[in-house]
Amino acid sequence: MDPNKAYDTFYKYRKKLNFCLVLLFFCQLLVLFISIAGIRIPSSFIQTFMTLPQDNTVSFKGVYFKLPKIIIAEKIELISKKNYVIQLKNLTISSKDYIPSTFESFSTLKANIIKCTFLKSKKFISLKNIAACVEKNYLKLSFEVNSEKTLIKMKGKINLTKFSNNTKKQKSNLVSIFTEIEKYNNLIQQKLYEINTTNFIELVCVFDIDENIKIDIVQVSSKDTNSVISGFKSTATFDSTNGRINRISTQIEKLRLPLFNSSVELHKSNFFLSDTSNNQKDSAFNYFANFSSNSINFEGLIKASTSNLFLNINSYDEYINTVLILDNNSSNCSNFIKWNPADSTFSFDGFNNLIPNLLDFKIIKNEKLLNFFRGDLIKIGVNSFSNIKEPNFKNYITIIGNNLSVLDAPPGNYLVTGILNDNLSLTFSNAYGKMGDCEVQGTYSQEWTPLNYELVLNGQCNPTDINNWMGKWWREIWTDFEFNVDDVPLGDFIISGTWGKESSHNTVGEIKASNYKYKGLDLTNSNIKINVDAKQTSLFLNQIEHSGGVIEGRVKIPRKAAHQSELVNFKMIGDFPLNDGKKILGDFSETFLDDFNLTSIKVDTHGDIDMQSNNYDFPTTTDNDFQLITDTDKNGSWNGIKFSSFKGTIKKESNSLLVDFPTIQTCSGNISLLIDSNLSNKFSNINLKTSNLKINELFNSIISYQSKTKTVLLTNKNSTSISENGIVDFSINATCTDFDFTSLNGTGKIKIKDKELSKIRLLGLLSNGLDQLPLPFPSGTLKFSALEGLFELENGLITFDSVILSGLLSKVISNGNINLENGELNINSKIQLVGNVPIISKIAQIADPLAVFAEIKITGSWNDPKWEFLLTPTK
Amino acid sequence: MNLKIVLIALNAVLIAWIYFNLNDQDQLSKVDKLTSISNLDELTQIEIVKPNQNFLLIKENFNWQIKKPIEWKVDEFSITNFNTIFSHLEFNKLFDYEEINDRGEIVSDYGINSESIILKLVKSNQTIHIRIGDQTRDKRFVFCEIQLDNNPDIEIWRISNELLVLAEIPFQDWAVSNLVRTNLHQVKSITSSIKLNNSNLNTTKLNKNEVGEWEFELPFKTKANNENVRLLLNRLLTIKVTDFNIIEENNKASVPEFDDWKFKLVLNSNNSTHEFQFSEEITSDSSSYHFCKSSYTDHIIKLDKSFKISLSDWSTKLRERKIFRLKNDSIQKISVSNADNDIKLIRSIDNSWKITDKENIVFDADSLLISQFLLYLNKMEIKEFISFETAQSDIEFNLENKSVYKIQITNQNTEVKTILIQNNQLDATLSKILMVEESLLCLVEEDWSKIFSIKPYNFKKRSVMGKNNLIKNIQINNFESNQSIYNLENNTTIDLSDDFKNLEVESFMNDKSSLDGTWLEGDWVPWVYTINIEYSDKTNSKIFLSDKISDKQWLGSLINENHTFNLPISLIQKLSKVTK
Repeated sequence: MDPNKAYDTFYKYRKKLNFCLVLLFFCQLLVLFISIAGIRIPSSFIQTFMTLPQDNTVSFKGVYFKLPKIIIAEKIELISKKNYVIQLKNLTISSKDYIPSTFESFSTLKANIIKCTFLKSKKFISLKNIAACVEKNYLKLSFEVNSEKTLIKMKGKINLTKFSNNTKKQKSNLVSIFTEIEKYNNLIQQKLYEINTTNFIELVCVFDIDENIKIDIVQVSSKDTNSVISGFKSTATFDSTNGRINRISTQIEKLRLPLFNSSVELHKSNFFLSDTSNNQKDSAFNYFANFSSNSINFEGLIKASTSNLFLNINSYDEYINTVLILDNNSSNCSNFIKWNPADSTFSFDGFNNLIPNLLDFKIIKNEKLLNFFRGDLIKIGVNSFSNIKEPNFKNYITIIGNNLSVLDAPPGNYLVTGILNDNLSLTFSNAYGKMGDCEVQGTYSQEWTPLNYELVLNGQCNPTDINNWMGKWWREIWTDFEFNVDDVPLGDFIISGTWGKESSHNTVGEIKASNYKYKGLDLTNSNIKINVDAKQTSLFLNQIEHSGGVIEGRVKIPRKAAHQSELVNFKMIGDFPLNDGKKILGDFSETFLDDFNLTSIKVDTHGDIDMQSNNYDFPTTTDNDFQLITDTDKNGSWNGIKFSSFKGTIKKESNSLLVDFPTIQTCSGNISLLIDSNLSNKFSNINLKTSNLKINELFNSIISYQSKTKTVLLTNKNSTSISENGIVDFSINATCTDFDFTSLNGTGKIKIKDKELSKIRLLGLLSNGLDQLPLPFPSGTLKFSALEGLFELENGLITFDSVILSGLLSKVISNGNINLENGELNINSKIQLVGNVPIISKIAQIADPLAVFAEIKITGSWNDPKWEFLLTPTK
Repeated sequence: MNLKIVLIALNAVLIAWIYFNLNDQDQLSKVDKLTSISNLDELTQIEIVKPNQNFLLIKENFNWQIKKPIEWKVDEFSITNFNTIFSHLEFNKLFDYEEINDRGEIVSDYGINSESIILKLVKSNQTIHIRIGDQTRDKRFVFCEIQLDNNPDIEIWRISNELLVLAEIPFQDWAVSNLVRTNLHQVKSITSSIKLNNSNLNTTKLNKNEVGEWEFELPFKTKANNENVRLLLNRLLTIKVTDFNIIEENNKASVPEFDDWKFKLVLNSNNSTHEFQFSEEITSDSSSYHFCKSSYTDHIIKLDKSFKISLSDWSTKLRERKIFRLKNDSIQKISVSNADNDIKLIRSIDNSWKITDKENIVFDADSLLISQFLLYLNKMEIKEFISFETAQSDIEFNLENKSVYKIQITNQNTEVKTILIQNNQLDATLSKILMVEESLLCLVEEDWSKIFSIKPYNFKKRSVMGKNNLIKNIQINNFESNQSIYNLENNTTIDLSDDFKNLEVESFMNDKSSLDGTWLEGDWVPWVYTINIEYSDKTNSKIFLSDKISDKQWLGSLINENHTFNLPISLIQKLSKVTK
């Protein structure tokens, strides 16, 4: 080489070299910039490379390319308009090639969040901390699945070749894959909702998707002692070509699951499922499944605990064979069930011995915590005794209960035999029970969907003993009955309905009972037919014997659960034991009947009355009608007023009330009373008529009435001054409003006959007062034996024009008024001599002595009247 | 300075910078190493070396086995737990050996010394040694020394604290705690042997026959109660090992000689034998236990004494106590007789049942009632076995004695089952029975009154109409006045034709019906109604009917028969409306 020539050449290109070095420098700066900061890739540029299915769009935000082969995106959103939205945030992808052509070209992928929102269910699944890399045909993945109460950390690998082959075989597309994901996501969320987890659950999972799919899941231990699930470990394998389960093995230390309105808590449970299709090709089920649990506790509506449960399902022939074993101190159960899936028949062979006293099995029923079972032994034997293939195949069930109390009913011995049907319904054709003094036999059938039942029983039975079995509706029937434990009724019932539906129960039956009480009334003998349907309870009372006679009739009580009227429809004919049976017709009637003292009355009554409502407002409650025809010839009393008989009718129709008692024998006379009320305008016509009432008896009755009712009509209770022979006739025809019988308006008539009328207060005082005057009349001239007159009553004021007090020798004619409200008197009376009265000499000079004392004015109050003799000075 | 040199220098710097910036091999190798450590896909061996104990678990033929400290089967959930938790541990490489040296540190500064727990994980292509050191200051991690394969280069890593939990898993959590390793369906025979004081052997053996029923082979051949055997099997299969007796394994002197077992249990399942030998009960200050040697391993374990109850008295507990296990379709004839009565229920050629009484009167039987009778017989259980060699000639079971009843079942395959019942007048519920074919005398606690009072009409077919002809008319008349009460042709509200076409009476009450009435528990019940059913083929049936007795009782009789029946409740309800 010629150095000179070389130098020249080099020098010649020196400028060009400098240019190249500068260019290289800037290129390297650019590369450095791209590797550090990256260059932004326009979204439209990326879109040109994308081929998306119809109805799918993708949007990019903040996409950068960095060297060497890194793509960074702030956000990518894939929208399938009908199905889902997938958002990826802070995504970093590094690839092996500058232009990735296959899945394997990608090296690693990282994203902070991938959120998939399912548009149909409006639920989402959110993955966090996603990292993925592709290595030797395997996609290795790790991510976290977060929801409110759960965190699942997933890690594993997918054989891309197998996965894509399977996907092709199954002709899966993106939509179908996400539909599946949505389905399982919804299922998991639903289950989490159902188990009502309030605690945080963290699971770690390892998966391997290859020829088979293998998943191991372990729950991370937590300090929470009340978690719904703890100690969960599971390992499972699936056939990736068809998704069939090969094997699942799960162990759970504690699991609490909802069960109706209760919860069941399983401790140390194992579940195992294995595919047996390879070695049992002709079997019906191709799986072998085991479940066992060391202890099971029920809480809530049901409270119970048991242990050592074992359940096995296996199939080695055309049947599914199940072994169910429960083996602990309180339960020895061993059952073998062979089920034919082709026609849903099954054979059941087993025994189940339970010791209820050790079971501690409780249930909340009608807001009460009851022992579901108490007692020495329950034996439930089920036997098919024949081959499942035989025609008319049946499973026979026998239940024996020794000293058994069900729902806190009295303990008894039971023997029930019947058939367990293919739909699992039960038909017990022979049921026998001896419970305390009760001894019944019958039949029972039970279906499960819905929970229909029918119980037919007859024998000696105290209906209240099974109150807890039947629920409120049954208790309502017998609330007022108090049966005699030494004389157990003879019952005959068909009870049917649906458990859990209070208004669905029906009862048809008859009960013959002796020596029992109904609402406190002693009944010596009775025959009651009962009919309970959805709307009402009907009691047909045949020949009910009590100390006061015999009564029969019917009562129809609306079912509260049926939300019917609260009116009780009744019809009764016979002797009503008034004193002992005051409570029978309810609180309202009791307050009315309490005023009576009478052993029994004859009644013929029917109607609708309210015996149940606490707000019953008679008579303004207009929708009740009734009629009572009654009479008695027995001595009795009403509020202390004695009577020897009465006869009458009370009739209430929608807007009218008629009280018609034409005969009330009292005070040796008779009273007739007619009240006709219009309930809509509260206007009443009253017609009261007494005849031949003895005044002294009336006086005594009034005194008794006062004493009984604590009211004051007469202040002078001394009856010694009352004549024994006086008779009073009284009638009034009046009206009143608002049922205020103290403010009557009308007219009346009073007539009193008594030789010793002067003894009567007011009149007697008048007579005395006259006697004390220096009148020139012989003694006895001013004694009276009769009082008679008409009066008018208006707004509590009795007004009269001419009440005549007459005697043998004189009469007093009075007019004026008496105010009943305040007892004020305002009476003017005139004295007239009748007949031939000898005038005493010393006043003989007075031509007409009576003219001087023309009027007597009585004022003041009823209790303290003021007398004023008005003289006539002009005469 | 020469511009060219400056440019070359700048370019060189940038090239170096770019090279180091873009070269991610180191990062990739870090990721690779992390992946290879935490991935346990190909795991074949786990060894945990602790100062006082070594655990060695090896995967053989896809099954994990504990090899040390004793040989035992691994609980699969312990492997699942180990794999899953380990795979999610957080691994962070801190320093390699050189870096530690450069920092002037030694591995013991990280708590790694000869006392450290060593976790050795052997995979198909790699062996990982992890020596666990101290916890980090925040207690979230532990320092570990990791050595891959036999590479002498060690590295210090920081690994999640859960690694310590995995390393400290006690033996009983690794091991399957069930003594017996088979499942309930696979067991084909069970044998229990007990050495008696005189060195005699009391052996009880049961086998499952080809139809899945259990039978005694020893000490006598008889049927076993399947349900009880199943219950026992479940108990045997759930016996738990109380103590794996690992300490004694280390101290060979304390391992008991096991030549002289007291109890032995053998289960055969699917061509494999599971044998367990149990020692006498050994009582120490704190507990009572038995040593047990199984066919699975030579290692001797300890069991709580509670298992013993499951091994004893099988011949009493498992013996079938049901007197009959009658299968309806196999039976040809049922006969109930005593000196006065002889009732036979015979299956005819067309599979229907006929009844004959002593006077050889034959009528059709109700198959449901016969099923119920069989159920009643099948319910009977032996309370006590009295004697195994009793002859029928025994005076107690002389058939001329009226208080002796005979029930004989003849199967279609001519097999006969006969029992003789001695009616105990003093105690109606406790009776001696003789099972003739087995010569077995037993005591039975059963109310036999249903047998003793049995009448032919109890089994009579309840479908009384016996015709499928179309009903043309039904007339109900007053029995005395013959006044019409109901006529199907005129009545549009209540149609009784279906009720009478398929009339199945509730039950037959007696055979005392006459033309004017019948008897019911000593009371005369006169007929009150007559029901005349006319068929489309111009034949007719006539039924006498009493007055309604209750909601569930209404008596009737066919005109030509003396059997009184009770109507079904559904018909009682309908007829109540008609006759109201």
